[in-house]
Amino acid sequence: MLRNESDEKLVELALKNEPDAFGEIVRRWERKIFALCFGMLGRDEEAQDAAQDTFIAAYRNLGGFRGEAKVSSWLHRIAVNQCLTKKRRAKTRGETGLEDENEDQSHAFFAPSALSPASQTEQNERLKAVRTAVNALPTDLRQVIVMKEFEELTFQEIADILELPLSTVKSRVYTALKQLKMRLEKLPLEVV
Amino acid sequence: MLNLKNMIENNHKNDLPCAFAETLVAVLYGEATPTERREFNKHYNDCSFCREELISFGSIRDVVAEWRAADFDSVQTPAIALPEVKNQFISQNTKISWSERIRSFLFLPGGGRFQSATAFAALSLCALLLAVFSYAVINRFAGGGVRIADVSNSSVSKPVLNNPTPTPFEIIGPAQVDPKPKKKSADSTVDSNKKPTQSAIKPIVHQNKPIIAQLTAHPSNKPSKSPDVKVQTAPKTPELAIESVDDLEDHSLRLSDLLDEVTPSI
Repeated sequence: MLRNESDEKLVELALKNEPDAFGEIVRRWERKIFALCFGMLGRDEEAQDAAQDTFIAAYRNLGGFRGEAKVSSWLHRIAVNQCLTKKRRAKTRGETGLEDENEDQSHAFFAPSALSPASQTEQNERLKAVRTAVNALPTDLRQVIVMKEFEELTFQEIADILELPLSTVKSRVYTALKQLKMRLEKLPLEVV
Repeated sequence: MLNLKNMIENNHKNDLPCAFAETLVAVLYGEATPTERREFNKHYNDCSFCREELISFGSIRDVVAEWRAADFDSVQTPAIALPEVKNQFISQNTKISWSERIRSFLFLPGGGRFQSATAFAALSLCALLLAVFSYAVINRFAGGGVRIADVSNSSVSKPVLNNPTPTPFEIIGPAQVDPKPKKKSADSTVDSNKKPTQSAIKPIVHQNKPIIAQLTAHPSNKPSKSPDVKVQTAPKTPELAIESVDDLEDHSLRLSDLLDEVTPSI
């Protein structure tokens, strides 16, 4: 029954103590929010924490949701803030770039492939280069490229979430792709 | 035509190298409008820069997609654990005004003016009843701890001290203690707020005096001039009782004095 309701209606129901209403919101958006957090932070554990904190923060502030923006935009904004907070804290703690740990971590996620050892090594190099390049992007460029590539949001949706003009979002995506190209050009990659 | 103009203006405004840069991105992600796509196709054949960018950006997207597939797609979405006490979190940020709390306390739904006025009147009545009841209880059980001063005797209220068992002498007492009424009522008002002066303390001393001394203190109780009561009318006896409190010097009654009072003359 709740699956047919809109996000805004679910928020209303959650505020009226409908027990499963917020659970339905979580079910709808958890994957996308997790993708955003993963793309922004580049680390699985950090992304899980950020996604968890996002929904808890949303739940705590449910009473303050006035319906002026979409629930999805509101959740994304909270998630972006959570990611930025975690990055700031990591920087304060003096942690190194996430790409170093990802290099070790990435091996765990590789499915057994039919690639030759040489091709496997080449792919690993390429993935490492991409992680490094994305991680080096400024935050405003990184969040639009993650929203576009990981969440597959439209330009208009990104504009709504970030409260930016549509043309600004397009130009940011263009600049992000341009910077990625510049960083990846130096590497001997077949793809680029 | 107007769309194309706006598009080119936007591209220049955002400091992009080509006027069609934003359109290029829209085409790359398949979000260009038919008009934009048509205009870009015309431009694409003439602009080598855009041709090169479109190909290289496509490759970048492929690499990013590969990274996503390798690192993210295989990762399961974490189970989001929400706090069990859900209503607590919601209510933390929902501020309830005092009027709403009072209304809910009085079971008054809604917020009409009439209902607010009724609630206010009911609360005022309760407060008034409580005040009257507490005043009555204090007067009943505290034995008149707060007594109204003798109105007939003084124009200004004076601090009256507790005495659960007043004697007839005490009722007369205040006039005795302060025989000279103060002229200015304003001054006496101030005095009542200040620390009690010596004259205000006198009633205490008066209560502690021997009954004989109290009797002698009142003019109506002055002894007759009969020779039998000579010693009782000794003028210094009440003064001794008063000075014994105020003065540091030892003017207290001695046993011999008391014997003199009780047995006038042997």
